[in-house]
Amino acid sequence: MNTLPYFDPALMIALPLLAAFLIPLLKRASERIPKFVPLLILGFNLYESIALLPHSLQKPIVVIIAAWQPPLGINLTIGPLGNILALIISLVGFVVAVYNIKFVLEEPGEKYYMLFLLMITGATGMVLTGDLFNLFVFLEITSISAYALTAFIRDRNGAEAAFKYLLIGSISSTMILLGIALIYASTGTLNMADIAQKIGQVDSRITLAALILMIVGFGVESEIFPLNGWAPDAYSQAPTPVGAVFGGIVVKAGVYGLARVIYTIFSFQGVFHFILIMGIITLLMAEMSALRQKQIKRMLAFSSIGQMGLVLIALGLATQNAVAGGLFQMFNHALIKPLLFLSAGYLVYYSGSKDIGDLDGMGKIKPVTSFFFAFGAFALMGLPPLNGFWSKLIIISETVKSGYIVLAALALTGSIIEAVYYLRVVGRLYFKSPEEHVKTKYVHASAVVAMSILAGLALFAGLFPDVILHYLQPAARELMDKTQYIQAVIAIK
Amino acid sequence: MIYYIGAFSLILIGIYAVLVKRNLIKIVIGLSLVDAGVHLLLIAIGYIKDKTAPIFSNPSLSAGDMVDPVPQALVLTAIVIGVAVTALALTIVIRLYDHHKTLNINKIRELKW
Amino acid sequence: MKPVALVLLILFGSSILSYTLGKVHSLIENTIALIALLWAGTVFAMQYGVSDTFSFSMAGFDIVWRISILSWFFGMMAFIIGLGVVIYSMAFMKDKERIGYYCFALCITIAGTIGIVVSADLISFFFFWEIMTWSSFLMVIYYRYEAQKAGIKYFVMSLIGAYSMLLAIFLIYSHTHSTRFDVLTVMWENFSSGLQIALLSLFFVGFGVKAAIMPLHTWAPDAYRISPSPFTAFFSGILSKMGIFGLILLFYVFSAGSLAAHFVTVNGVALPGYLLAWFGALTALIATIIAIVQDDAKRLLAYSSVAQLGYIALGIGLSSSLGLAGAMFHAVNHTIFKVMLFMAVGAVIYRTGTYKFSELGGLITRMPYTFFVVLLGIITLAGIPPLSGFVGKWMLYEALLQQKMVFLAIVTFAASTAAFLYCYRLIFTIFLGQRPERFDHIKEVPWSMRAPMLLLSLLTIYLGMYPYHLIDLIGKVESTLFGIVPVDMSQSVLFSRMGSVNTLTVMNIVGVVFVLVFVLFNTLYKRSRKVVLKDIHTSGEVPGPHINLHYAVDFYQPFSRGVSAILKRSADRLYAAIGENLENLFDLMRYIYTGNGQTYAMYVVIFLALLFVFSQWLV
Repeated sequence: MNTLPYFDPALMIALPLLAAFLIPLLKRASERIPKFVPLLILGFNLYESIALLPHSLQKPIVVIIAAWQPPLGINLTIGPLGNILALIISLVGFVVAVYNIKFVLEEPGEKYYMLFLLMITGATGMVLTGDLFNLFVFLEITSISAYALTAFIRDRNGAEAAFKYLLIGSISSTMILLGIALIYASTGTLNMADIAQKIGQVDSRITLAALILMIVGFGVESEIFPLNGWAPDAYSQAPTPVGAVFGGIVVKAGVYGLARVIYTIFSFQGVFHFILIMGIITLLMAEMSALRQKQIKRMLAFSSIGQMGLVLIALGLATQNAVAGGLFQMFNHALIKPLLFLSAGYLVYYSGSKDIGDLDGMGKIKPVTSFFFAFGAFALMGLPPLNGFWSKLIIISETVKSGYIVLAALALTGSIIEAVYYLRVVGRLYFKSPEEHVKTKYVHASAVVAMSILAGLALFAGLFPDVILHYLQPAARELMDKTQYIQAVIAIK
Repeated sequence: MIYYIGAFSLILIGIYAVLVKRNLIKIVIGLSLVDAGVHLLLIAIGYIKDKTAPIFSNPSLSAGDMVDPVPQALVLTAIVIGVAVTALALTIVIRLYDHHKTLNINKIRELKW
Repeated sequence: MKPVALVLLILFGSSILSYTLGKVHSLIENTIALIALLWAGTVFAMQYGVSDTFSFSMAGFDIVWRISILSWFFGMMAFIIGLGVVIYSMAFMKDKERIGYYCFALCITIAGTIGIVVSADLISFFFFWEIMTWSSFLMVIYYRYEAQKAGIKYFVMSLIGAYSMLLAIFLIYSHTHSTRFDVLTVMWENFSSGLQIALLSLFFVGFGVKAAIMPLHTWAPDAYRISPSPFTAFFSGILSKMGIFGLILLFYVFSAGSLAAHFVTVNGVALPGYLLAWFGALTALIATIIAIVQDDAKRLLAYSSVAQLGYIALGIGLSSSLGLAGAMFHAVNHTIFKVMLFMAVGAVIYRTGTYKFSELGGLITRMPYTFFVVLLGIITLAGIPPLSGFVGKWMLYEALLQQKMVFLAIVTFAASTAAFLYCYRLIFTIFLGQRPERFDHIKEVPWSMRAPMLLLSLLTIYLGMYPYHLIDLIGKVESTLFGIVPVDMSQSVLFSRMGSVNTLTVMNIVGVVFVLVFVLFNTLYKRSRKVVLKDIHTSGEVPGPHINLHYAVDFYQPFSRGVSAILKRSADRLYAAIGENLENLFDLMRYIYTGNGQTYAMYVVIFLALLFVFSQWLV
């Protein structure tokens, strides 16, 4: 296979960071430039992560920064997992950037683009870094820009949501820091591969404490029940594209952190059962809550939590196929949830209300947007031939195979609840007669392009799941078998 | 040892403030306290008795005479992050006060369900 | 390209083509569907007895497609009815909105159906099953504003069925590490009894929902009632047969007759089959009773459909050669006559715009062809010789008696007899009696609607004359696939232990009598005076508005009063109540998501503390 030429992977983090801080300056040159900067940068990231993929599949790429050898210096470790997640992040970021071109913002736009780029920088950094403390720093970059973006629309609810998010988010990051401190105290290193190597010799009480702290810390970001109180508020109050990014990117980075912690760094077996149980609880609680929501974005937020529950189940099963299925589910969710958010954003914009009840008959007035919403809903429910079908199939299959039949049944019950509330919304779009006062504005071309990319990819992944799984299997292997990861880093010495 | 006790008591006081105080400002202070506690803990981990700061201020100093530099670097970073979070938190509190005319967290509960 | 793959490709491709090209010109949509069906149908039909296999791997699962003779049997039914429905739709859907959407969903549904029958592994079976479900859901909600409740109910119940099937599939997969039918057939007898019970009940829910077996039928009347009439025909004729197809697979392919070794047998039938037979018989009886009291033509037919599927399930449950043959024969019959009836009722709706019996009447002179179709349809339905319905029911009864199942036989007889009542209601209230004035000038429906109905009528007459042709095919299916010795028969004589019927003779006699009477009637009564049906007199009194002169209102009043006790307990209402209560229960989540940020922070800390307390679990 021909491989594309690639650049220094560190640029994937450095460029967005640089661009983010350049945006206010560029604004002085022209009002229009800031809009296109994220597009350009994320386009580069997308290219870069695609070009890297064949190499990282062979063996993890280790990038040494500032000539310090690991485990002393900070390094990037780009294995298949990190690379694929970086690809997902760049992809979603790129699509949202396309959508952003025309999205209506009352505020000065350049700050928005700056924060947006920062958030993506943070998420990309999280999945690429090989250093535990660096992970924390990137998590903080992501979170801080996410807090700010939540409050971006300067209304009362935005501020409230942002405060809740900030409150819980900073508690969680403190816990992660505490966990890092414990790990450093006992192993004397921060390099993840090095920690993984040395953790066996450490008193298991200390590592257990560190593990608990980190599970809780990353659990907040990956929306484990009951740590997810911030999520519905933040999702629903942030500007639409930001909600999409939360669902598509931020959560993924959180789950990545969690997976790294439980699979690579520590080697406790019981934690998988715990994650499994938390997964099913998260799934059921979220679906039950989503059923009763009156606002469409809150409903989507709860649905997002539910999907993460499914991913957690897959991670908790800890078989290679299940993990691959879980990653597939993450990939699908990263495509579909932004699609739903973007289309819902337009629907809300047209109807002028966030309530589901006010979306009556939008299918007739706004056929394109409604179609994309319905498409996303169908894909999320896991109807063939769309992508959600396969990931759900694999996860349920592995659940039953591991002997958790009741659990599989419960997860399927969750899916049924999910179908009910999505159908209700789709039903309102199509079944009710439209009301009069709806603004008649056309969907911007950029939004249509953005949504079409997502929908097209969802269909593609549904028709050719093997193409995606081909890349996900090595990523799952990376999680399951940490020796490869460790060796790739230690070999540099 | 005293450093550890101090660090943990700071963390606990902070958490207490976050969970029990109703005033938004006090909650933010609580968050800062937790942060400070963790920072102190990190420094305490790297501290070795009778060693000096990890700076080559004097040519006669060897690496063996210094405390562990890594936690200090971490703490510097963490402090910066903590400041950013606190600043952001305070702006949000100001915004909340503008809209709600109260700092009581129990009264700012419009987003539920 | 392998023919199996080609068939599916044509069908799925046509759905997309007909949607996209249909935007160019509205005529294209139906034409593409028609061509695709003809083409794919021909390719499919030529695969008779070839048993060609196409397999590949997808997402780690083995996918196998094969046109076995059983697939061929059900697939040809789908193609024939599909063609009829497409032709019928050409006129029916003309000038309606969103024809592209309609054609798209119709083609996908047909494609999904064919996909189901050619699947030889559980994963692709489930895949196509889900495709069929959502595409038929799209059809149910075609009339969007009214269809919401019915549509969602249909979809959710289908999903419950599909997911219970999925659980069963993965239970099998975790035990056999394969999803192929042939592996399953071999492995089934090694399963423990508990596993078998679990599998059977999960599959029963999965297939039972689609086959509308009571108490899983509640979606059917509403969904049938609301979907566009041509599609209702396909729904009842083919989609419900997929449930039957699944049950046949379950009892004869998956478990491959090894059930008897694991379970208690009742009168020579393994317990699961016996239970299925009872489910079927009770479904037949209860649904028939409910059908009688309907005032809505499509709901009546829907309940009748449920009842007939009950008979078929009964035959499958009997697990004897004759029972299965009867079930399959009756399945074909049911497909034919139910499609005829739904098309005919659709024709009436097309012209009159109503399906309420109490608003119709006297259409015999205006729509004679439709009347004729309905007449033949109900004769087949009721199982009266000489039409094909008789043969199917005959075989079922005989199978019952052969196995000495007296109580089942009684229930079935009762249901069958009661069916006369609704048949009569259907034909009488629509076509006979007095005609409301506003329908005085309606015309017969266009030929493209008449043709499929009439062709199917010919088919039922033909099968009534030569049931042997179909029985022979069924016998082949039975012997090649299940290794069951087929039923004994010759050209036109149906042998059995209780005697034999020569269907050809019966048909000849009836035909001669019919022609004789028809000629006599037309010659002798030519000069008779025609009275308008409204010339009824009320003994000199002027009827006030409170006196109901339309006999179709409360048609079977005494009867419905008699059965009202049964009707009061509705599974539908029960499910609705359960759903509502569950939803209210979910409101408890409100107490968790209080909206107070501090509470959420508290959760985090408590969660942390709990983890520390129970930290030993994590090791």
